[in-house]
Amino acid sequence: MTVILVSSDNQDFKVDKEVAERSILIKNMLEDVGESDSPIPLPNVTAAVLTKVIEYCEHHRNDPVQVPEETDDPRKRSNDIEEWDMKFMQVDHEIILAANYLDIKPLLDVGCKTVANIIKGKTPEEIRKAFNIVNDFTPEEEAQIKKENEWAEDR
Amino acid sequence: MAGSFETAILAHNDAHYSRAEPAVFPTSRFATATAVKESTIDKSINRKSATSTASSSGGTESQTREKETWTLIPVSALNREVTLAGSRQVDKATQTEPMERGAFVRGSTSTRGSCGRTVSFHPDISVSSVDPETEEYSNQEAYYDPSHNGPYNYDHHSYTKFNSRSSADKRRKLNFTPNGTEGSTSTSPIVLQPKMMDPCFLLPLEIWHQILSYMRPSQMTKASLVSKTWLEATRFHPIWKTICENGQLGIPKRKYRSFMALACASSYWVCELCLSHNHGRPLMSNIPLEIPIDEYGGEPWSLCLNCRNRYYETHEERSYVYKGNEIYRPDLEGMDSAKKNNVWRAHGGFVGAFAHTRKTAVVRRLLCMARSRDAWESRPSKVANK
Repeated sequence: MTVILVSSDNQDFKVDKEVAERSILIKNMLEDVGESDSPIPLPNVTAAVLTKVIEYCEHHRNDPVQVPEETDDPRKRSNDIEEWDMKFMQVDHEIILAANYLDIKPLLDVGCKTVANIIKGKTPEEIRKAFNIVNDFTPEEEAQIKKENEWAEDR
Repeated sequence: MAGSFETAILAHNDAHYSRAEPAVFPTSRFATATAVKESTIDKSINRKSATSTASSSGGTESQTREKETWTLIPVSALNREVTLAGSRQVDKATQTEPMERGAFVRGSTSTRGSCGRTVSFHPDISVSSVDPETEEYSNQEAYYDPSHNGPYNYDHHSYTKFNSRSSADKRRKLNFTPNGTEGSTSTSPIVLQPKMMDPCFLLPLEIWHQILSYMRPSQMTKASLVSKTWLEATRFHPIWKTICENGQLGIPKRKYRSFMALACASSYWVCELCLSHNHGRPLMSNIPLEIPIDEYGGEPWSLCLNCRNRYYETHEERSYVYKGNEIYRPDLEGMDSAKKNNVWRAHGGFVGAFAHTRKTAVVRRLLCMARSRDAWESRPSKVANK
């Protein structure tokens, strides 16, 4: 069975129901509507982004449903991204936003981990360079924060 | 002269619409903010533009111009839900640009009576402003109006103060930067572009917190030094409250005004893995000490005694400790293996034994006292607060 998804720019995407149901949002929609051929509008996702999301869902169509696991490690690990996911996922905020909207937790996790990995181990100046951010602290403010906070200093 | 000016305006408007593709206006809210921000650039030029429009009313060009005029009206007035999207969208029914609290609507200038403001364009510089005739803002509270809600910071090209908005909205608004020289008289208009890569600016606070949750507190603190936006977003992460609760550090008061400040003031004593708090009692090796964690690519984590022991159950400890540029090696040659194991177990590895013998905890306490004293002396005074 196929499902028709309509992107915000009115492009139709025919995908298998199994693939579409990787999205909890779409899965719930399909459950609520029942058997219907009517297209599912996704007003918050553009065609370009939806293409990428479908590509991800196609690749992970046979993955088991992710169960939130309780570990004793309160800090989550970000270095366990699959190789395919790493190649797939570039820092694209639109994919992260779409994953959040469509409620595709594995994709959202991969996106967040990718961003976290970029930030990790970098100094503030390196982060600014990586993300093209302007430092809007005055030198006094920056010194004050560093002074109050041993964590902010290089050890 | 007026005709050529109008033609120039129309040409500019056409160009403006053609630029409203995702490459320039990647999201609807960017497009909205662009127009809003343009509104503060030069009101006098807009008056000239508006006068020019009035003088040529009735003509064909004027009619076309009216079609191209953008008017800001509140979303509530549209009587329909307009959703935010990751890219520019125009509602087919109303021809509106969706935004949080208001929307730009294409329409004739005659509709501006109920809306209070128009947006028009100058051939040289993109400008917009209040209605020059009435100077009224009938629904100004519904709009993001920089001239009323906060000053435009020309140093940082951003607005610095906002009315009642969520912190995520504020963070988004704080990061618009003009793509062009301020006050430029070149033919290219000032187009505002967001910082395309800044995730803290682009993503909602919840997702940003999820990203931060993959980091340890020290990394989060370093990230907070990137910009004020990052500092604000990091400050509200729930981890700081957890640390304060675990360590019974109390609640933010005058000296430390947020949970983050409170937690950071005790950063020497917080285990980055279990977030527990230990001052080095009864053993001085109980304090969190940095050890490289293999699972995290050898990143040094500050771990408490229990966490270190748990880690060393499955990992071998490195037989050296870095201190500055020097490498300290354990002098345990004369010790038998059983005793060595006991020492290592009691202190959580060699790094713990090293800290115990060197009284690292005492040194840290002195440092904390000095830091606390400095923070107290440099606190904002009561007069300054008032």
